[in-house]
Amino acid sequence: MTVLEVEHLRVAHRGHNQAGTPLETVRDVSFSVAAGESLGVVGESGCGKSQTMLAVLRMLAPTGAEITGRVHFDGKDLTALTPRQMRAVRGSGIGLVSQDALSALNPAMTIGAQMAEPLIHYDGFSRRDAAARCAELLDLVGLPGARERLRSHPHELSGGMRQRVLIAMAISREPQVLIADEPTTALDVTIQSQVLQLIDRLRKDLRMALILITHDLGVVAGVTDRIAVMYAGRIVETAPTTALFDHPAHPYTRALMDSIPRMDRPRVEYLPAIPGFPPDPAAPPPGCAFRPRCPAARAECEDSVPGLLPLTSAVPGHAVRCPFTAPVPAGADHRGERS
Amino acid sequence: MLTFTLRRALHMLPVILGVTIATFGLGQIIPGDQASALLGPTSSEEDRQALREDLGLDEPALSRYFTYLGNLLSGDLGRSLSFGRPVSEVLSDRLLNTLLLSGTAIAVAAVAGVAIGTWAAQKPGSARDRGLTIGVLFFNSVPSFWFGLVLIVVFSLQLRILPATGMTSIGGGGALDIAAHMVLPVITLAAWSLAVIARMTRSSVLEVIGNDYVRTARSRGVGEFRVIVRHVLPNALPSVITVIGLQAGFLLSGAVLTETVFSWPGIGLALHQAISARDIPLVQGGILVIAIAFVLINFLVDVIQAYFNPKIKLA
Amino acid sequence: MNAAGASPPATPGPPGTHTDSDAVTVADLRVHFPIRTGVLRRVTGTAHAVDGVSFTVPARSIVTIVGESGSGKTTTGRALVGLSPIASGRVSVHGRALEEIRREGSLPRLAQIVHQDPYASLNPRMTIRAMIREVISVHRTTPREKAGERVAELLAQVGLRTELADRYPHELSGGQRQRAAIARALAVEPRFIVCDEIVSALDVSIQGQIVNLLKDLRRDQDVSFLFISHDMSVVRHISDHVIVMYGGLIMESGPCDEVFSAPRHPYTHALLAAVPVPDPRAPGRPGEVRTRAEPPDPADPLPGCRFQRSCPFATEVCREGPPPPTTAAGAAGHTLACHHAGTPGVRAALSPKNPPPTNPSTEAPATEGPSPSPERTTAP
Repeated sequence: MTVLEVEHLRVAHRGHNQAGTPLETVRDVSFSVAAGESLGVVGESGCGKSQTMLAVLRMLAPTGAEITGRVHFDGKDLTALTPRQMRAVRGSGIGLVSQDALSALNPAMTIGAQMAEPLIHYDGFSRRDAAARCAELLDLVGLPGARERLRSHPHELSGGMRQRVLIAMAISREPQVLIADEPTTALDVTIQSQVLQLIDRLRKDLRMALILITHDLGVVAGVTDRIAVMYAGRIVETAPTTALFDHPAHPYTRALMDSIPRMDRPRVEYLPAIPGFPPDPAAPPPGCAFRPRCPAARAECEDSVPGLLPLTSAVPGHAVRCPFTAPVPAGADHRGERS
Repeated sequence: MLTFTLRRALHMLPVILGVTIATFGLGQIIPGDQASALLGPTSSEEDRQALREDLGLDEPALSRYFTYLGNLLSGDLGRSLSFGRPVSEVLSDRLLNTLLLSGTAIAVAAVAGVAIGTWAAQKPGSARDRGLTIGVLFFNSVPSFWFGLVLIVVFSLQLRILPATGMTSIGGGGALDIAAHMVLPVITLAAWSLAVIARMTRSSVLEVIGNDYVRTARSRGVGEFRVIVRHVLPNALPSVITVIGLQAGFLLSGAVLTETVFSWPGIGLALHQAISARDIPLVQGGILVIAIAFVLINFLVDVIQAYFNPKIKLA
Repeated sequence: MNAAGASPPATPGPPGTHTDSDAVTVADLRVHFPIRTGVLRRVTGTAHAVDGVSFTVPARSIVTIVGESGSGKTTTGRALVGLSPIASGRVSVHGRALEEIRREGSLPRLAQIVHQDPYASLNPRMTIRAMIREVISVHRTTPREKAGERVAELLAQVGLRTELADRYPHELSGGQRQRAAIARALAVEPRFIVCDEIVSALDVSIQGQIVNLLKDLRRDQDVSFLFISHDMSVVRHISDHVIVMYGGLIMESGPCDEVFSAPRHPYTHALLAAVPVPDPRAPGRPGEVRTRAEPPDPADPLPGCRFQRSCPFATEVCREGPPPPTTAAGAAGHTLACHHAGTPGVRAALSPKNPPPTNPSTEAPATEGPSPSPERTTAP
């Protein structure tokens, strides 16, 4: 059962340059997640992946951001709700875990006070019940000595512990959808895998839909059911996780996959990196936005933005925004030039 | 927290000692001879010399400083030349008046400044935000004595709704009378600080409101009012409190002008009179009291900040 | 493994002894920070951030220190450029004592550091060009009239287009900022550069560009690097020699291929097993149970092996005394500090062929040490 469906979402920021042209950070993004399902949203910084999620939660800066499209959640169109109704969806309908747990926790409040805040003020918990619930949540995310931890301030915890606290906070009001925005990027590798496992376990145990945002395809490989790859504000490829890894179709997806330093392949002298940088959102190149970095670019690529079309002869649900591609089995030599 | 407070309190000692050296030194370097100021230009040299010996003015500076320090410790600030009473008496009569005026002014400036600054920061670039910027510019470029005079002209002379001067002593005409007399001086005194505090609050709130933890709170469904009160202000206020502390100090010294304009019987007015009358002990005493108030305010600011920011306590 | 033209990575001699081909030698380095408490800020304790570390960085090589937060890797790197207070030990840069070089003020000319977050270390009010020019004029590496050319040359070396020179740091992407920071370090013409987590904050797709850049610089110029990282997958591709640190001490040190193909220390193996495998069909994904303690408290170092609380093989001997540094059998320059270096069962379990599900730490019972704050995931 689909719990969250986003249709033709666009985000434009006004007044960011002298010319007055709106800065489009999200361009026609559509996706959906079902209960208990997990979707990975993958792309480089600035591709619009975080902006998409903030737009879903209607948490973009109050001035200047223009959102169009529809967001269906729990039988409602979130874009049509009053601010008050929207507030009721945040936290209890859709939860958010952000990237840097140190800056995402209020330094002036104890862990317990910030965890319990919405429980006491909006969910009718007594102080005592809220404290018990928070301790239970910290146990659930594997933070021992929970009662004691509730009295700590964020700076007294390690990075991994803070991330666990943040996850506990995000699930404290039992949301149906959990959005995790780069939850492991600021952590040591050894802690990263633990946090990923934790999120995955909670998703299964609590039957939440999970949207996992990351720049690292390696992170989502073992966790998500489906993946959407974003570039310059658009989804350029979407597929079930295994299909995407077996038959990456878009040149960008392939390049992204190649750029992962592999431990399970022979050591190479030069790491394959995607040459160049993502385009400036204020002045995207005409046509396909990936063309300037694409090893297989043709003249036609400049003409128009290709549609996101289902791949024939492929797994159902595999769609790609490139007309000149056929799925290439993973491992074949499809890598771009090194920088 | 207690450790921090004690440690911070210890830091005040050398500062206060420095202040006494400065006020003592002030008495030494101010041009003009106290004896001739007291006895008048027609006095004879012998009389003046006798008075100097009497007052201990001919002893070495160091020994006079220790005498001065010893007197201060026993509460003796010397004798006011123009009032003919002990300086401590003159000042303690007036200290309450000054504290009432500047305390009210800083409270008004702080509460209104934080409220207006926060309100403007919630919609950066909006009409209210631009209004704040213009207001800040206006009040910070207008001299306070001029602003005070304008208020007197408008509200006392034209509209005749508020008294301009005539405040003689606290408790003379009841609370309502005091309040009526306070309105104009408080507005005059608070206007500048209010503008500074509002501007500081605005930029500080803007900085904090973009933080991830504010986003975290919103993402959990915390309402905007609670977000501001529980998450934004506690983290934005420390820098604002520093400014409020500085402003409180400025208000004390600014009281000299304002009290003069409104004839408010406070330390400022006394200082003004003392300076004109070359009443050096009273000038020294007045400055000492204001400087110590300044040091105490800074101490309070630091303690309040430590309360808001748990990390300071460890440093 | 080496590209044509790359200088062969020299195998370092015994740690701490200097040869002419060494850029940096470190012998028994200790960095201690005082802990102050109370009203009078008396020193009441010492944090042993780095507690006796010896290694060498051969000229024109890339040596990596890998470890997680609290391992002392960054403190070690900062010590080599004079940014950490050295409590004891000998550090020499190109044959001369660090202290001496520092006193005469020429340390910045010899050794530079590039930080993880270039945004914080680049002046936000200076353009890239102004920043590099400033360095050139302060260190007088190039005559004034040639400074403009030199800036262009440096930008070309790090792969930044010249038109980016007049931008401010906030106008650049993360990868471009990191290139600018490297260009600024190179402007001094140092012999040795410490790179502290310089790719950790970058997108995976950009990390490779920076790693390749360092390799090119190493090949084309007489410069050596100390690369500090927590990510084994990047380390594997950049290093000539790898040093694994934990709790302020070196756990294992050896030539890159050696360490990756035959890790001898349980901690090295744990680091390797933590790297996510970008393959949805890889076995042993989520659901696995791992028990790991928080890193040891640097103010109160454990007697014995520092890794004992998180080590699945720890026995009585590990809690009693520090493991002696030993040379791995049959591998030149491969040393490790582990009591169980020779224990047959341990050796077999550490084989890199063992995929993560059979990772020893996976099956170990919860070994919660006396740590007040162990990190733990519980089994679902």
